[in-house]
Amino acid sequence: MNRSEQTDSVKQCRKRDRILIAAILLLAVMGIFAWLLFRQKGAVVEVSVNGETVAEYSLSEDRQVELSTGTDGQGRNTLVIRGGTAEVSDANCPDGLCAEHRAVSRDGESIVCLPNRLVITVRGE
Amino acid sequence: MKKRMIRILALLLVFGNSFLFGCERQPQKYTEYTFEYFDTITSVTGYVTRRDDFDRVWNRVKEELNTYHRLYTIYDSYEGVNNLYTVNRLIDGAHREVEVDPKIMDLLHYGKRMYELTDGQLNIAMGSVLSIWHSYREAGISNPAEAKLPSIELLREAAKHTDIERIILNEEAGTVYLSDPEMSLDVGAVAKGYAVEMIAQMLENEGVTGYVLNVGGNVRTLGARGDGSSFAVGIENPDSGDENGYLAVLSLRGESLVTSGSYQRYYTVEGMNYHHIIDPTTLMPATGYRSVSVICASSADGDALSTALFTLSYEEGLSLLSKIPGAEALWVLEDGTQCFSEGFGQYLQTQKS
Repeated sequence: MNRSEQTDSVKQCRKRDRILIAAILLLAVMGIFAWLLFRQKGAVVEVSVNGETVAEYSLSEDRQVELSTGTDGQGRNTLVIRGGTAEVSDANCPDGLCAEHRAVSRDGESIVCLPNRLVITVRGE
Repeated sequence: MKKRMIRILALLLVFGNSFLFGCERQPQKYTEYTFEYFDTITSVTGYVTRRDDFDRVWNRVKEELNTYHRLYTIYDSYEGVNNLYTVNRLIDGAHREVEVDPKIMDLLHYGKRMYELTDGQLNIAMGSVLSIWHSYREAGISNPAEAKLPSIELLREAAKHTDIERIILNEEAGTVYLSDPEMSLDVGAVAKGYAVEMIAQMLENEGVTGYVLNVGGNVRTLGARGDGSSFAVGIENPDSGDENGYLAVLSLRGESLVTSGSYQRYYTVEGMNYHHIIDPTTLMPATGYRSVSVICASSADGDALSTALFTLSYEEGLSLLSKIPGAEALWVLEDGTQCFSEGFGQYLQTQKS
């Protein structure tokens, strides 16, 4: 909006200002709305032992964690996060079902180790 | 003009805020786990707007599960509670007439009904046989090198004491009596499902909706998700080495889904896996399937049916299934082939081959 236009008509100027402010506000509101709708935390791996959440790791960072599990903390499960998937590579539980379980990566997928009371759950996409 | 502008601004702010608050009021997904009951994992998932509401339901479920667990367990005794352990107990070589909670009476009646419905494939009076397998399995898991199979003679001898008619229920006195001293109860095939169904119905009567209860694979949905859409419930792929993820994802709103699998509880003897679902005819772990999943209204029926179907041929299974209106099943054969009952497809969201 330039000065010559503004001097042309005060009335027209006010009208344009109004439209501009309204447009900016509308954009801001839409922006917040969109941000709330589409914000992504990124997928995480939630580790819970005996029903308590004990740790959370990003699924996008490769790592290996030795987890203390079981009711007495004597349980051992090795959590491996690699290439956007999580799996239990090794465990001292008697049945070893958790270590046989395929790697998980999608929202809501989980690996359970009953003897060691461990749940590993993927949250978020 | 200015006034009008202010009015527009105010309107925008009001709308903006209502958008923001509107978002906050979207139902959130909450999940909690516990390992305290029925020797398995329990999870409760709720789609609700307030954490408080979820916690209230979660605590109610735990309270109820605790009650049912203490009544239905055959492995532990609790002071001041007459449970199934008490009913199974021998005193001077005989069972006693035991006064029990109505919840036990109801479960045993249900067990007898299921015996009739399944032509004896589901028998809660099989404790003598199942306890042999239980102790061999426990020993085999804790010491794999020494894992053994029970002899068929031992099993056949025990199978002589599995007559369900000898569970004597006295409705008026509220007592249970096992009239064969060698017999015992094992309600493993129905207790979890029955307890889940009772708890689900109690919550439904209180108007609770938007929840999924899962007690060791006995899944019961309560209503639909907060936004009105169905729950997506996955059936775990029995081939644990497979990367496919789920066998199938089902759309459920209010139904139960129960899966019996040979891959959950088993032990290994000389390279062969022996699981926990025992065929009452052969007295050996049932063969033919990796898993059987049942969708039906009641989680109790789902639990009983999935176990019974596991020990029956596909054709026999279809005829049993037809006795329960609305019940549908998915069988996964040992080679991975999938068989469906006619109406199973309507629940299928996606299916991976």
